[in-house]
Amino acid sequence: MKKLFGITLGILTAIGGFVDIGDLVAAALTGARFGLSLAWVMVVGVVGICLFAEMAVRVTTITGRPVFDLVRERLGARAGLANLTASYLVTLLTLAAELGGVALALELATSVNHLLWVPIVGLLVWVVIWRVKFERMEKAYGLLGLALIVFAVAVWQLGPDWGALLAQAANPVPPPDESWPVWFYYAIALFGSAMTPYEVFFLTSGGVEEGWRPSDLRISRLNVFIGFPLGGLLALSIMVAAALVLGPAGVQVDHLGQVVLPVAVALGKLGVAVALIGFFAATFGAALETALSGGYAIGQYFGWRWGKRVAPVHAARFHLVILATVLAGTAIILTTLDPVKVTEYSIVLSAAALPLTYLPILVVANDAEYLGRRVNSPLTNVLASVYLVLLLVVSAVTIPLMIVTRAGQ
Amino acid sequence: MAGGTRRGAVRDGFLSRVAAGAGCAALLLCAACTGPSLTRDAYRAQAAQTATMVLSAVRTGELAAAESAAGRIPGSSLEVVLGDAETDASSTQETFASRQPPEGTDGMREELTTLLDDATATLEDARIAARRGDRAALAAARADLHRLGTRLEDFEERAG
Repeated sequence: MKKLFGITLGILTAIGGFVDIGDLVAAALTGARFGLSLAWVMVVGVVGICLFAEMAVRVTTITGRPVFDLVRERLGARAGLANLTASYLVTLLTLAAELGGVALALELATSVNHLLWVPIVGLLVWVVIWRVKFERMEKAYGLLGLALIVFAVAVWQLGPDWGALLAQAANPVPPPDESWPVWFYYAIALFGSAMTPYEVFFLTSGGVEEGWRPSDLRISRLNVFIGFPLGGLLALSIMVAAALVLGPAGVQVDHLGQVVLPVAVALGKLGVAVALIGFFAATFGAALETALSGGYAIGQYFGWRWGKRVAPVHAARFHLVILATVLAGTAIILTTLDPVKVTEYSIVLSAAALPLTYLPILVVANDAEYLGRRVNSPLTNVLASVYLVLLLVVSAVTIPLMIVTRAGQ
Repeated sequence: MAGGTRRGAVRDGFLSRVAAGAGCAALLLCAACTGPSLTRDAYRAQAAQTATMVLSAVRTGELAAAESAAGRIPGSSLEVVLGDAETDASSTQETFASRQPPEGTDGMREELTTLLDDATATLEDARIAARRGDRAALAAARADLHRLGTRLEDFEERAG
């Protein structure tokens, strides 16, 4: 049990990364539209985020400093500023979408319009960040987010033909009525959501909040190697559930309410209630992550005192940035923008900016001045280089694909 | 005097550029309001895509109503799902109506417009029945949605 609580930071981070509001809808949308032909992207995404997150937590446990801090120090203020600007803007958009996502989950539970919930959700997020201790926060939302396992239970209950599912997953080509550019667009969206930059910033900053030391390297790696695959598994189960129920029914997924329908079919009202708790916890957890990540990134760049372990009176600028970020996110979503669309765009834009985050991490993880004998192994470097090429290709083709496919239509 | 003439010429040139710009803006605005004029094939493809999108809303409504009849979905979630499906159908209907049909496509346009009207109205009926807790009306709407789905599939096949 103690070990389970020790990895809740990784679980919370992964749930934010893999099953936030955009991913919930994107996983169901791709499952309903393309079957399991895009399941391989989940695997590629999980391996990629594990690879770079392991480097990031290794850097943090050995140096006691978060990755963003070291990136700025190692690459200089100008490169750090480019990284900060890109990641902060994407994080702000994602926060806005998450606030909307929490409101949508509450709308499904109460049928009160989500826009009425948005200001309340914004206030709640700020109060939790202000008042609740970091460890308590990560445990509560990390573990509650596991309620989304209900999708895996629903898949099992639906009694699928596992052989047919495996055959679909092993045949990575678009269905006959879909085009390659649209299929690749969604592949990039899924990959971008798995590799969202704020995940590593939050995970390593959270590690500093928890006081990780070199002796905690094992537990920090467990956070990565259990948390992210678990997040990927949850997203995959949503994709499979949609492929089993929504695709054959001719439903194209655009709304959170459609995502829950396979659970209703398989498990009834109780299943839906658990799924709604999971939606709430996952999106609320992601809202906390993104709001904190905004404060972490700016605080670390400017060298302010930061973190929840510091009393707010001693980290006033950090908390002010968080408050301003939450207010801005709330204002964005109150303009009536669709939260699902906002996340879809933020995921795709973050895919375009991925090398800005992961190249510096690779550079720092190879610097013996910081890590001594704990620098990357040759195998890690080979794998990371392959992924960097992939990230560069993804960042180059993302925007053109978005235009050509009219955002996947 | 000469300076005054030059200023006048400059002002006239400026005004004519403003007028031309305003004309272009008005044209663009009209184009945006009515949607682009399409070839027959492009219009047919657009009609097929519209049918697919509304079919998704109709199937969503039908599935949600079926789960409600079986007591497997809470009322609050049902209302939201049906409301979203109705909004999707209605906005797709508006977008299609804004397209300028090329000559020779009036029959197709009429058929699809009727289907879209029926879909929006039936989803509206379903949403109202769900909010009132009227099981009989919801069951009737579900049966209508099923029939509409079949007609939309048929249209989609012919147009696609």
